Amino acid sequence: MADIRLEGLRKEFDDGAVVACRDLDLTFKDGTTTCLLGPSGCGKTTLMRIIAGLDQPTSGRVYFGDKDVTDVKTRNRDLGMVFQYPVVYQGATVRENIALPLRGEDLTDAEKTERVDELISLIGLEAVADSGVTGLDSGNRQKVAVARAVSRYAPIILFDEPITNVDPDMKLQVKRTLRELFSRLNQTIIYVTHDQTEAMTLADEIALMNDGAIDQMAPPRELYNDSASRFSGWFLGNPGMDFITVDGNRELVQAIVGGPLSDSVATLGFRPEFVKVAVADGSSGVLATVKHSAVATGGQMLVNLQSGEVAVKAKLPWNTTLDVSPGTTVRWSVPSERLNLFDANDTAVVAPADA
Amino acid sequence: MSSPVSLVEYQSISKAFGDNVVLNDLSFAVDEGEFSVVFGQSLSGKSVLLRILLGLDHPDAGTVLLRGVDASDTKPGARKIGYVPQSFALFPNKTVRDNIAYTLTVQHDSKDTITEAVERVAGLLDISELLDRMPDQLSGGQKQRVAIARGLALKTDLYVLDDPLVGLDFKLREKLIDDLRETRQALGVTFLYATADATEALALASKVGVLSGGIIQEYGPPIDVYRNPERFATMATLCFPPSNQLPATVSEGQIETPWGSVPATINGAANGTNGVSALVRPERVNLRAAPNGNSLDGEATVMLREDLGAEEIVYLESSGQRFTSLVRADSADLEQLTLGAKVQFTIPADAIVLFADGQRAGQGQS
Repeated sequence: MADIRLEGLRKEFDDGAVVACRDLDLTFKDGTTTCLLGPSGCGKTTLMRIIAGLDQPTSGRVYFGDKDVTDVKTRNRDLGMVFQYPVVYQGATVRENIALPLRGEDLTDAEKTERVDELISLIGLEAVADSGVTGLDSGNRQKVAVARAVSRYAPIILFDEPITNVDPDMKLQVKRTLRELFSRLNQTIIYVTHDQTEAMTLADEIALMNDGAIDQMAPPRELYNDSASRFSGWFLGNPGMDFITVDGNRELVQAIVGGPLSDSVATLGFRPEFVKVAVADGSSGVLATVKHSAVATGGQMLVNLQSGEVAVKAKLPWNTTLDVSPGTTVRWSVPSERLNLFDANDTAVVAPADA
Repeated sequence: MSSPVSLVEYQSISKAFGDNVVLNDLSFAVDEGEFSVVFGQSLSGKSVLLRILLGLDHPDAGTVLLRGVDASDTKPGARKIGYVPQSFALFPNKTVRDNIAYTLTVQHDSKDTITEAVERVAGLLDISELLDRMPDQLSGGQKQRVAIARGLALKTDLYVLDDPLVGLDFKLREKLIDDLRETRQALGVTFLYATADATEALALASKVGVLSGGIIQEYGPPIDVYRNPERFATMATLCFPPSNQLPATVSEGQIETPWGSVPATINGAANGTNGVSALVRPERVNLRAAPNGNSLDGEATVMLREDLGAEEIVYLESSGQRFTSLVRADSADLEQLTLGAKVQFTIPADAIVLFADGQRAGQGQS
């Protein structure tokens, strides 16, 4: 089997001035699509290059299943790769491009043809199967590159931001193709992206990377709903979590939480879409002034609220009837099950009820 | 209340490049103190519109009034407009401080004026710590802030920003959107800002204009324009996800579609015309909702679910038509919507808005 295991993997540049991977111990599960997600410069591309064998780690080991591949050359690692810019052979047809990696394989001609036909149908290239790749649009060209990368059914496939350079109106089609492909193939897939929507849409698991370390690894919804850190809460979501520091706002935080706080809690976090906003007449909830309101995704109202020194964003449903024009006074609250607590190291504090 | 002064007034502007008519008798006025956003898809002519105001391009016909005066003979440098161009390049051999000061240095402002201006804008954009760095020591987001600061360094009443957040990653844009809005407010000046991103336009604008077909189709506060679009281009594009276009015809007070028909109020203009378009916003396509009153109801196949975190876009296909539904991620509607699954959908009649010749021409009646 081919899970990918990293042991104490470290990568330094400039004699240690830059650390792209900080002693990572990590397993990418067999048969799983893991999106390596993080802001630019977090080290995700470096990590993928090391897994591919295109870069050597400063220290630590890389295992494919039980096999230590740290010193194995890329071409002997038995993996497929898809890059930002599609790698295709100009002057060859789509079919020929997909068949090319099968040349050295132990398959009969009939089996090869069958494999190519299978991929053409799976990836949706029927209409252009016998066309040259030169005239293809960016979406189809990347689809051919994907088909080439997976055609040997190598146990591991690596994707480096494969949609980034696809034309906007083709992106969706390529995403759909990848989503289907990933669910049909039983390969171990690592997919590098900085785009949270892409990761949330395509991944079985997301490995969220920040400053050379894996911040959290979990299925997409779990990552979104149970952020293990402030970083995770901030990075996922549009906009990300609201945060209120306990220091200087203890009474406010206690009022929102509805009880005393344990000493370990340094920050309260919650997602804008879970903030309930109501008219000011009621007695419960925190008073706030509306600073700004704007139409957001799907007609929802994104409302910037100010409660004293504390700024909070709330995302209200499109059909809200509440007056949220600037200057209006309102009350807001957050259901207790939607609250996230973080300690002084910005790590999630497990609430007593969950422990 | 005195009516606000128009700081910028485009009067019947036309501009073509060869056979390509970019602006076609466009008229549009920006009042003082607005965060005015011109929203248009790529190649719609946004940059040209801004460059004409800056004096960097010249209209084939029409006039621009700047601060109430015909600007035709005013040289770009004398127009007193701060400018953040779309493709910004910092001088690699100058510090951040000198980069920001560049425009002021060129016009020979005094040293004190320059120092004061640089520190003011650096403070606003939260880059005071970076003033002595060189551009190659900055992250992408920091560079963008420096470029914006450079445009804002000129002390004036009007700033033009040409898609300054394009290409920046998501989280940076989120932060800069708040910062830009607050910066304009703190300065009490007027911004004219172009973008191709609907979410950005809606988040930033005090007033938004939709540039399409060479004219400003509609101009007003974003919430009004979103809720009551008068023009097809506005409803179709000034939203995310984009509105769904349904195949529909209109006859005898009914909107006919592949999923049945619903009653509608229809302007005379739209009755019996073939050129009627019907739009529905994705948030009005309900999944698994029980039909209630007049609605279009059908069964669709789930083609893809895109997870935005707080909400999901569900891509659907029914009767050969593709459309989307926008669903909050905590909604029970999303349970078991696997790819290829069949799902019931309902579109309330009042969610269907009709347009004829680009103009609003009616609406379904629930």
